[in-house]
Amino acid sequence: MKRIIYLFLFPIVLLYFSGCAYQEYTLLDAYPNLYENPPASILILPPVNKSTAVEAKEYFACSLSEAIGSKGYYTFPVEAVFTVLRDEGLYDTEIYTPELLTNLYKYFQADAVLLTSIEKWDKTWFLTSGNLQIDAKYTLLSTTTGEKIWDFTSHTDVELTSSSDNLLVSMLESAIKTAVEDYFPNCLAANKETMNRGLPYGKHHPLFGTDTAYSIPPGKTVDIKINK
Amino acid sequence: MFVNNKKANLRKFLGLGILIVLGGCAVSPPYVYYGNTSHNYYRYVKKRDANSLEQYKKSLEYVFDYSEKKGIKVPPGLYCDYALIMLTLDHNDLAKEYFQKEKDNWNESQPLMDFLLQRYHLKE
Repeated sequence: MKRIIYLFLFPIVLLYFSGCAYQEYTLLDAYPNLYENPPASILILPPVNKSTAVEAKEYFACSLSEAIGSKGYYTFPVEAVFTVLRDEGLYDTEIYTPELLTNLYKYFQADAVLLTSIEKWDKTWFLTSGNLQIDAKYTLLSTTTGEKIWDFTSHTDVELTSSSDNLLVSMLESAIKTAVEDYFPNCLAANKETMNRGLPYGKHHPLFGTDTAYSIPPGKTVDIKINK
Repeated sequence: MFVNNKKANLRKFLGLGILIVLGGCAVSPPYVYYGNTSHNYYRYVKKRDANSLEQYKKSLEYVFDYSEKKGIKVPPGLYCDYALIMLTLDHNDLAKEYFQKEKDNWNESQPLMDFLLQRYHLKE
């Protein structure tokens, strides 16, 4: 009799503990405010560059529009927006107060603004291979309430290897690649993958509203690997 | 008779099944298509010369044609970018036309497009 009780109890205990170990975390769980009042338009603000690479800001500024626009949001044209912000002396602003958000709403009537912080843009190379590490944080603020409605972090690793069999050529190629390579396609791929993994579909996308149950990476953070 | 009917029904079901599977495999057209516009915009931002401007202009025109052929919307902001290029080339009438296209294509762009039309003295 005891044996039968144990036999029944064992799977129940197992189920209980497995339930504790793995908890499904969905887009709806993570971003209830975004689903409650979904923004149709997003104003991409000049990225804040905390890395030592000056070029990183332009890589991000020019690639975010496609990454977010592809997800079904109206993204304001970067060239026009940045010109207006420069004229208003807001291009290098890093702190967005509620008053400033109200002003941005007045100008553009954007539902939300995207703040991007480039935390790391490190290029390294060793013998025949190079590597680029990009860490970035993204935050969406509602222009009407000033509330944070979405946030996400990405760590991207770009592996750069030489195609040559000759060690010396390979070393040279790798060093040159790491130093002068146009990293725009990598940055675009990283931003697109980030938005694919973490940003719910916008109102213009045919799949809008269908992703509430999508699971989201733990800590709202995604690791991306790109091989060139 | 009954056996023949059964066979015919089976064929119909099989045909339907194959159609469903093939339908699932067919690639649905993208919601919007950017082509190489983002990369060419980056090159233009970096260089700001006539060559990079021309490349960016061409990539935008390609996306406009492609989108029309596929019956999809031109991505947000691209008509506006083209209008700004037209302004650089002193084609003010075309600039006005493309600011208007952005406005017609994306309702959310209206306040900014009106502001830009006014800023560049293109509003009647």
